[in-house]
Amino acid sequence: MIRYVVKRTIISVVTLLTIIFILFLILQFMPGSPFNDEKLSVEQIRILNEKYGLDKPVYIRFVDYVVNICKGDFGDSYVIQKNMSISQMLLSRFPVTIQIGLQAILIGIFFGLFLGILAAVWHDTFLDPLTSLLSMLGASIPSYVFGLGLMYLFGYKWKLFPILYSSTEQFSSGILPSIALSMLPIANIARFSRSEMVEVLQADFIILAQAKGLSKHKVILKHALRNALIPIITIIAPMIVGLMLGSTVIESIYSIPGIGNLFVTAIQVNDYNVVISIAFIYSFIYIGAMLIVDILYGVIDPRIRVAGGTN
Amino acid sequence: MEYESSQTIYYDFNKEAFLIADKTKKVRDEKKINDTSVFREFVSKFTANKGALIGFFAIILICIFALFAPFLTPYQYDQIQAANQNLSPRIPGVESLGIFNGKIMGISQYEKTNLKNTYYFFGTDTLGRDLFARTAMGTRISLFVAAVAVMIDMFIGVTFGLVSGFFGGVMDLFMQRIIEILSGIPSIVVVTLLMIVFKPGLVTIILALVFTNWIGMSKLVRALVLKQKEQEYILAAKTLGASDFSLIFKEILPNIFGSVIVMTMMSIPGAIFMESFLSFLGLGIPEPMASLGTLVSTGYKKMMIYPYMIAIPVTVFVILMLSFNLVADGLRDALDPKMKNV
Repeated sequence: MIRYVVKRTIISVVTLLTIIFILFLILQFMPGSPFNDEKLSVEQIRILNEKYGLDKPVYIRFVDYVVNICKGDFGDSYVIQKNMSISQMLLSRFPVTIQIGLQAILIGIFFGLFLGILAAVWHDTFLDPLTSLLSMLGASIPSYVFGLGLMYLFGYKWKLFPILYSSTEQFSSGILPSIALSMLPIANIARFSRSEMVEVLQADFIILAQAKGLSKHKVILKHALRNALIPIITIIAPMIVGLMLGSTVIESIYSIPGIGNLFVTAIQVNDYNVVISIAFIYSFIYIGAMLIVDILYGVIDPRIRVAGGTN
Repeated sequence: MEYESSQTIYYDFNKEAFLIADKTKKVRDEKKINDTSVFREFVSKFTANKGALIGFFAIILICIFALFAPFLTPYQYDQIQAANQNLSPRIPGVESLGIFNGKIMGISQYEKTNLKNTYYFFGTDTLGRDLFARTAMGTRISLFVAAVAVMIDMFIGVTFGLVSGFFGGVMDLFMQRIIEILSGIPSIVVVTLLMIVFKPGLVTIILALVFTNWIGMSKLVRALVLKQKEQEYILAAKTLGASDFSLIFKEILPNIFGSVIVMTMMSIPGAIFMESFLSFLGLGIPEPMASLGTLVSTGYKKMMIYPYMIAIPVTVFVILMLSFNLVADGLRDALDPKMKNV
């Protein structure tokens, strides 16, 4: 087990370093320099370069870069808020993004499991094709379409919720974006849990539980669901990527002051430093999630760690 | 058991119970076996799936629309007519039914500007460009981008997976580490970085899609190859002295091709999806070209006043995505029912 954990951790760290290296290269070879003011003389630029360590060889700068990132220092923003430290910008934006993301995941897990169980338990009635149609719709329609649709109907037409996000009504104005963001998780979880549940419901121990005379909901919730839940862990990491992708767009539609919104703005105004810092944060979250999922899965299912975890 | 084997069993046949076969009649069993070719079996399975069939026809319809719609309208997709801006959809014949009549909140946009005999089937955008032509163009580009990206993907993924799975050893180990590291990078990061380094455009988008998609394909192909390698027919071919070349191309590839096709089909909606996201982020196809994603992202800015500007491209987009998903599911069930949850 320890060997497995160490191996996964090393792979994750190497991946992260590779990503930092690529990001560093992009920063190096981007056109322009931080000091392109025409009033600066050659001598002044040399002094500035020396002050910020830009005259050192590339590999030393790379080490500096990694060390700084580990300290949480991503440098300054050039365009969006001049000379504002990026870590400060990120810190003030994290809570909103996490709030919306968590709400979306919770909604996704709840309704996804509900639909999946519904479809699996009554899988010879109309409920099964209905839920599979629903989950296919959820997977086919991009979250921004849901976002715009919800905004148009609930915000503009029926005026039930605020159209845009506002920090004074954090809860009520966060509902629509969370729902829009949760559509993909709902679809994924419903689809996955359905096929798992169908399989588990045919297992011998379920027949035994039924034969013992347990009530239907006890069999489903206590015996079948618990076993069907295990493989669902594997789709968590891909789901987080989906949420990142979705959140960039949803946040800019609802003008939520979160990370995704900052990312989109930074891309549009070419604030490379910010783009690259957020790219790093996204990679970090994703790789961290994958590592945790892999280790969790290794704990739950011993076959994985024996096989080396390549599956 | 001893008791049974010691006895000799005699069977009595009743001669009358049997008839001499009429050789002039065709025997049905043989016919049945001959008839079920692999392709026919696939077709019958696929057509039995109603959803897949509907999806298939919807895709064909959308392709026809994308190809021929520009000929139905006198306007070009990039033709700017400032006087005709923000006209809502109006279709001759249909307009008397109360829909597509060129009215917003009961006011005809066409009468206001003296365009009584002009018809924009899907309306015009804020620059007065015909949305019918633009939607067709956008569909064309979205389909093109997805198809090309997925084809390149398939090629790279299959090659990588085959080499890695078939030859194994140090090469496989090395290639798998590469894959492991690459798959650790979230797709959104890869895509945005690529789009920043290169100029936004058709080629860059295709490149970005290829970069994010080939890994899944190569993982699948490798797993399939590893499974096939254990089969007896490979051992037989090897014993007969087949070269690696013929083993790969004549034995393994035909056997995994079904799954590869299914996987390819399944990644098409993903590619269309990703392209639209990029367009939405402003990293998509630059103007005056259009894709479904750029149409949606320009339409949404005017959504509250002119809902048709976003409703039409979104409808086409959703139908397209849904159909591809349905067809991919149908293909999977028909070709490779074991491949679930991929």
